[in-house]
Amino acid sequence: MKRNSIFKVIVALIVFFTEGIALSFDQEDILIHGFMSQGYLKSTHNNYLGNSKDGSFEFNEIGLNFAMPLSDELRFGLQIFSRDIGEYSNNEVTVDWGFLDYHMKDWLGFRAGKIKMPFGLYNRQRDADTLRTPIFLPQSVYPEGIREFIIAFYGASIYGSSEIGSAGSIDYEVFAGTLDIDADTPFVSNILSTVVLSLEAQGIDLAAAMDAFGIDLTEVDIEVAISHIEGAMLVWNTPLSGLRFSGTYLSGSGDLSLAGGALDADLSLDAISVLSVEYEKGPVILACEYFDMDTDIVMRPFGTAPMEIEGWYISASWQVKDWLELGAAYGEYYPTPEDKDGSDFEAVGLPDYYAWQKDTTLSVRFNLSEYWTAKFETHFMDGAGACSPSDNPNGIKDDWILYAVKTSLYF
Amino acid sequence: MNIVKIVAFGVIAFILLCSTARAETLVIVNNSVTQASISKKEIKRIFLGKKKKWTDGKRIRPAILKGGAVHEEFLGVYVEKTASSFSSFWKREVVAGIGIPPKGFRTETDIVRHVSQKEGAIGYISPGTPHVGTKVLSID
Repeated sequence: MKRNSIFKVIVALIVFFTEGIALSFDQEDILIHGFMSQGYLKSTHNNYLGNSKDGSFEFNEIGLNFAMPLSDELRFGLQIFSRDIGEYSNNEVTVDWGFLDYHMKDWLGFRAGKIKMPFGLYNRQRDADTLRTPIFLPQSVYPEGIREFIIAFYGASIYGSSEIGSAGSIDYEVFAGTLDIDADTPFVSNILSTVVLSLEAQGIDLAAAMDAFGIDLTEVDIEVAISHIEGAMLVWNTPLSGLRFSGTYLSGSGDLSLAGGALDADLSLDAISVLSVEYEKGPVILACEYFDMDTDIVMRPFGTAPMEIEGWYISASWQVKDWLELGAAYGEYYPTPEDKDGSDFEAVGLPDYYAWQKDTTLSVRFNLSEYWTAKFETHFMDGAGACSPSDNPNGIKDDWILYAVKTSLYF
Repeated sequence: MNIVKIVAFGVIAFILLCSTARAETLVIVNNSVTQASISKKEIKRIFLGKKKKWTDGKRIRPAILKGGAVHEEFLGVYVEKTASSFSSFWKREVVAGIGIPPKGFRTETDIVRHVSQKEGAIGYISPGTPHVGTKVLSID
């Protein structure tokens, strides 16, 4: 058993047996909270988010956060985070976020440091399993494949909240900064396959061209640097209690470098947007979000590879009892929105169902105590648009099921 | 006679039950707070972390009960959330680093003591709870 697994078991036992004592350690000036989760994935076909065909325990998160008011207006916060999902992250310990927050007025505040990206209604809390009914956020809008791209930025933001008379209230945040993209992530490994497929559809065989220079695209080093990213999020809390609408917009640019600079590309993030609506009434939450990503990768001297994604979902969760929550969701994900029927994939000899991934999810959550949850979830999948070809060298099936189980603590 | 007693007992029990279920909460503040009234909308924004300063610019310090009927009634009437969804809201704020939750107290006596001692503090209690050292805000 790995050392971090032993640590998690020890902490879980301490929390379980000292439930009334192991509360959040709230001193007057320092707040400390944390969470930890361990899950298991098993799919009937197709490896997804790890070696799920054989069953995978490489599915966990642990976070510890600190918040310290420095004055009535200024505070500092920091979250240390570690996760493992499939072959990625492997419980590397990182600073998830860490920033200074200056609250000048209710409608005007400032943040600076590493800040969680405002992206849709639920992105900022995506890594804490206890904060929602289902195990996975809908992958059609919060795909793990681009998580590194939307999880947090280094920079600054201006934020605030204001009532707008009888029209309710608005919350806003405007931000700018840079991204630190880890090369060992699905986002980076998927970029190259996306570029190759896109150029192939234009009649350009990038792999053959690189082979002529002695560069093997299956083993090439890739570096991604996002020089700047900016965006804004606006939430309208309507006069109808529990109903809110939200819009997020991002743009930016960066560079892609292969084989130590032998091949360079410009990465242009033209428009990334999320539109959201949520209605919360008592124990029931209904939500619907739409996601659209429009980027271009200019691979010099070969051509431009568009990298576009579109997705949406609807979901419902219901707290039946204090100890029981039920959830259901349906989402559709399109890695190439202009080819939703897969005809372009078929034209290059690939199955049409690579063009979509439709996910019907059923979730059950048990609140075993105030701090401990257990969840069971089933995803009925149609299509393989979010499956990685490199994780599935023997091919990908179109109809498959993903089972997920997870237990989590919050303290 | 026995029937009369039973009916009387039942009526009294029903009245007490209804009274318990619909006990109005009092919103109390530290004596440093200058305003005498507050709107329901303001209360909601305070306890969801959207309004952090009183009209005189002083910091608002919200305090909550950690559970119970008074807590649930206050949340239902003023914050328009269940206790579970309120707890989830603040956990989300904490995990994202964008909010610090209200300070929690196990008993109304504890919350009164805190509100009486902390400048800018606001909390809530049931009508029968002594609240020396605090003042009650009227609801607009």
